[in-house]
Amino acid sequence: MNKKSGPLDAAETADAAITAALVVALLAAGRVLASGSLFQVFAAFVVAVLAARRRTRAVVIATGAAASIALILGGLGPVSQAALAGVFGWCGGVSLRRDWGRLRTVGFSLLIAWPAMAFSVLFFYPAIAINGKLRKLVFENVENQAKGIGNVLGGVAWLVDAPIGFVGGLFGLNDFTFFRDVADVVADALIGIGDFLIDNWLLLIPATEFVYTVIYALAVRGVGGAILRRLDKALVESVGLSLQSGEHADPVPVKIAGAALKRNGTTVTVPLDIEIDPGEHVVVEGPNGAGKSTLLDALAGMDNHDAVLRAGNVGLGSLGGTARVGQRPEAQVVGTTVDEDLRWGLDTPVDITATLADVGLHLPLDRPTSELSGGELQRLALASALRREPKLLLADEVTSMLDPEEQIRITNRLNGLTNTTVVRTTHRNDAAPTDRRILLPSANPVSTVVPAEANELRTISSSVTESRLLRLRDVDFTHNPTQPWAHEVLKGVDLSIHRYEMLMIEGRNGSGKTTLARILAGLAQQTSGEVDEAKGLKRALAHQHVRLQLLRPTVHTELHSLAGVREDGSDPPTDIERHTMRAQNLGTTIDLFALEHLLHRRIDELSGGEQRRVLLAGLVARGVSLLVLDEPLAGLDASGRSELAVTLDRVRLAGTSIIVVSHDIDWAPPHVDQRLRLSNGRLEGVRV
Amino acid sequence: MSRSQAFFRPVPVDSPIHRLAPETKVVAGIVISIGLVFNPLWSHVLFAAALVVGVFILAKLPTSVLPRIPLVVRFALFGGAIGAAGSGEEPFVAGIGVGGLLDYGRLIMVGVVMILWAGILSWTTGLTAVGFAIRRLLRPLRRVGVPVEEIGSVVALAVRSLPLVADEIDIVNESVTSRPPPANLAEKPVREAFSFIGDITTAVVIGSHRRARDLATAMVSRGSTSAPEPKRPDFRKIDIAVLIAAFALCIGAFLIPGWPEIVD
Repeated sequence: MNKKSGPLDAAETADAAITAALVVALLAAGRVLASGSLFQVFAAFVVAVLAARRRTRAVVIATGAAASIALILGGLGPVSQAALAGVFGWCGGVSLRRDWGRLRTVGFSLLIAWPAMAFSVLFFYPAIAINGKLRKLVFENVENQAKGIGNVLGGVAWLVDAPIGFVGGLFGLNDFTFFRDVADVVADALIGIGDFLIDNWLLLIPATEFVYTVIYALAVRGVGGAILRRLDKALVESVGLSLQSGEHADPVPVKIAGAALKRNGTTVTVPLDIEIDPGEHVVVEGPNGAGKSTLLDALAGMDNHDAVLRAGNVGLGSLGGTARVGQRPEAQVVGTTVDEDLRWGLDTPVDITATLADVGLHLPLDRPTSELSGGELQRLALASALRREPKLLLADEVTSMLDPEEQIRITNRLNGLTNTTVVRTTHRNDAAPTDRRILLPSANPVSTVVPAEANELRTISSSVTESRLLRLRDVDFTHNPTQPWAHEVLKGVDLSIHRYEMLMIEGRNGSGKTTLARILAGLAQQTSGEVDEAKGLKRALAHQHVRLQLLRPTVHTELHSLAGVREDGSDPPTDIERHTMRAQNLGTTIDLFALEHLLHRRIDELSGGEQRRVLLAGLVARGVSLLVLDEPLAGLDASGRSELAVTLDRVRLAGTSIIVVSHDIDWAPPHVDQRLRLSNGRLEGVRV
Repeated sequence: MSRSQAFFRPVPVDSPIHRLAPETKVVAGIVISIGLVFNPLWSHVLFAAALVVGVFILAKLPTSVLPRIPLVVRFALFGGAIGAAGSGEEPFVAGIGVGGLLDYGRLIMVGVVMILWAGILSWTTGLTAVGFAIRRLLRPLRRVGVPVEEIGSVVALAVRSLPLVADEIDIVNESVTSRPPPANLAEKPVREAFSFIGDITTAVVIGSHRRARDLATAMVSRGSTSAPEPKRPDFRKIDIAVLIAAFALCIGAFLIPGWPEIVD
C-alpha cells in the first residue's frame, strides 16, 4: 500500500474522480429506478474498492466531490446518500486492506458508520428532527396513507361482499361480511403501525440504522472482497503516474541502459543501450510486443525511472520540456471541448485556430471532443504537444488513423522540427533517410490466432427459416426528439441483411454509427420508419470495450452464463429439451472457436482478442443469428486485426450473420459482402 | 452521446439567468431550498413554486427540457395518491374528503420544486462551470485543512467523466438483462444473486479503472491534473442583489407565520 503523504498524485486523482463519478451515476440511477438504497450499496462497493487500494485522503476527496455534485444535482437527500456510501465504503475498504474478519468489520462499522448514519438522517433531514412544520406534514402523510389504504381495502371488500351477501340473502342467509371484517383488521393494523412509527420515531430511526449498518457492513465486506480478489488479476498498478516539475527541463541527451523494462507487470527486454542526442530524429521499429511503447513511456519518465539517465528534469507536459502523444487516440483526450483540450495544462493566450491549422485541423473550438474521429483526435493531441515547443517529442503511432495524404503531411511536419528531438514509432515504413532507426527484436511471439481448419458450414442453431433476417426501411432517428438538444442522427436509412452475410458500415465518430448499431441490434427504437425482422430472430450487440460485457470470473462460467447452460451438467427442473440443445450448441461452439484450452482461465488473464472470442462464442451459443459489432477495430494493431478476421470467420461458420460498424475506413475484414458508408445520417454503398 | 444524461446539459440561449455568476445560482438555490424545506406551508410552497416557474420562464427555457417521469416513479406517485385520497380527511369537497390528497400534493410539490432548482442550475450553467463554482465557494474551508483545491479538480474531472461512466453502467446493465437467467437460479437464489451483484460491480469497476488509468496518463502528459477554467460570467451588481433577495426570502420564510397556521 501507498505510504505517501501530501496531495494526491495524478493516478490517485483520476481514481478518485472516476469513483466520484460512479457514485453519482449510481445514485442517480437509483433515483430514476426508485430503488435508492440498493444503488447506495453499489456505490459503497465502489468506494470500498478505492479505499482498499488508495490512501484515505483519496476516499475523503472522492466522497467530498461526489457529495458536492449530488448537492447541485439533487439537493440534500443525495448528499447524505453520497456521504454514507463514502463512510461505508471506507469502513469496508479498511477492513479489506487489513484483512479483518466479519466480527471485527461489523464492530468497526458500528463504531464509525452507525453514528454517522443515524446522525446523517437526523442532520440531513434536520427539518424533521428540529422543525415541527415539515415533521407534521410528513407524519400527517404517514397517517393519511395508513388510513387511506385501510379505507380503500374496505371499499374493495364491500364490493366483494355485497354480491355474495345478495345471493346469500336470496337463500335466507345472514348478511355476508367476511371480507369487510378482514379489511377492518388490516386497516386497524396499518393505523396501529403508522401510530407506532410516529410515536417512537426518535428511537426507531437509530434502531433501523443499526440493523442497516450491520447488513451493509457484511455486504460491503463480502462483495467488496470478491471484487478485489478479481481486480488483482485485472488491474495494473499505475506506478510513476505523477506530475513532473517543469523546472530545469532538460530531457535530452538521454541514455537508456539496456535493461529489462517492466510493462503491465511483465518484463519486456530491450537489449540495447540507447543514447539519444539533442536534435536527433529517431524512428523505433519492431514487431508488436517488442516494447516500443514501453521504451517511449520510459523516455517520458512515466515508468522505469532507474533505467533512464539524464542530466535535468524530463519536464513532461511543460513548455520547452517533453511532449508525449500515446497510441490510442481516445486515451489522449483530457478536455471536453477542442478549446478546453488545447488549453489543458498550458493556459496561455495563443491563437488556437492557427495551432489547429498547423496539424491540418479546421474545427470549431466548442466542438465536443466526444464527436471527433480517431484521426482528428490524433491530430488534436499532436497539436497540444507542438504547442509546448518541446525539446523532446515522443510520438507513438500518431498517424495510424490518418488517410495517406494526411499521414505524409504530418510526417513531413515532424521531420521539419529542427530544434526538437523526435522519437517516434510507426507501423508503416515511412522513416526518412536522415532518420536514425532503432530496431527492437521480437520479444515473445504473441500469436493466438486460430488457424482455419474447417471450411464447411456448421450451423449452430437457428429457429429462423427466412433468408432475410432484418430490413430497415426509411429509418430516421433523432436524439432527445422533444428537447432543445434534439439532433437528427439518421435520415432515411435503408438496409437489409440476409443469412450468412457480413456487412461493414463505416462512418466517422459522431456520424450516428453507434445509434445505427443499437437499432440494428434491437436496443434502440427508431424515431420513424420500419424495422422488419425475421420471425424468431435473436440479435446481439458486441460493444467496443468487450470487458464490460463479460461478467463472470472464468471462461467456463462465462460461456455457460452467456449461453444459459448449467455448469455442472445437471438438468433444470423444466424445459430439459431446450437446455440439452443449448448445451450441445455450447459444446460445438467451444470447439469451433478453439476455446478448449482457455476454459479454465480467468477472464481477466486473457488478452483483448481472446476476451472478444469468448464473448462472440457465448453469443453464438445462445443462438444469436445476427451479431452487430460496434468499433471492434479500435485499439487493434495489424496482428490484432487479423486475429479478429479469423474470429469473424468462425462466427460465420456457425451460421451467424455479422454487421461490423467502424470508423476505420482503411481496413475491412476479408470476405465482407458489402461495404456501406454512413455520412451525415445517410447510408450509401461503397464500391469495394 | 450518452443516452441518460440529457438532463444535465446547458441550453444554448442567452438570458438574465444564464448571465448570472455560477456561484450566485448555487448559493441562491441552496438558500431558497432551505427556506422552503423548513417551512412547507401552503403559502410558502405555492410562493416557491411560482418563483421557480418565474425563473424558469426568465431563463428562456423551453418546457421540452423537462425530463419525462419514469414509469416506475409515475406508478409510485399514483399509488401514493390513491392511498392519500382514501383517508377521507377534511376539508370535504362534494362530500369527499380531499385533505389527504392535499397534504400529499404539498409534500410532492416540495420535492418537485427542489428538483427544478437543480435543473435550472444545470440547464443555464453547465456542469464544468458548476464544478469551478463549488471549488470557489469551498475555498474558505481551506483554512481548517479541507483539501479544497483537490476536491475542486476532482469535481471537475468527475463531472466530465459522468456521461462516459453512465454509458458504461448502461452497457453492463444491457449485458445483464439480455442474458438468459442464471441456470442455477431456482436452487440457490441468494448465492446466485449475490455473486451476480459482485460480477456486475466488478465489470463496472474494471471498465472505469481502465478509464481512470487513461485519464491519469493523459493528464500527466499534459502536465496538469486540473482543467482550465471555462469562460464564465463576471460577478456583477445584479448578483449581489440576487443573493440579498435569496437570503431575505429564506429569513422571511421563517419569520412570516404563513398559511395555514400550524396547530400542534
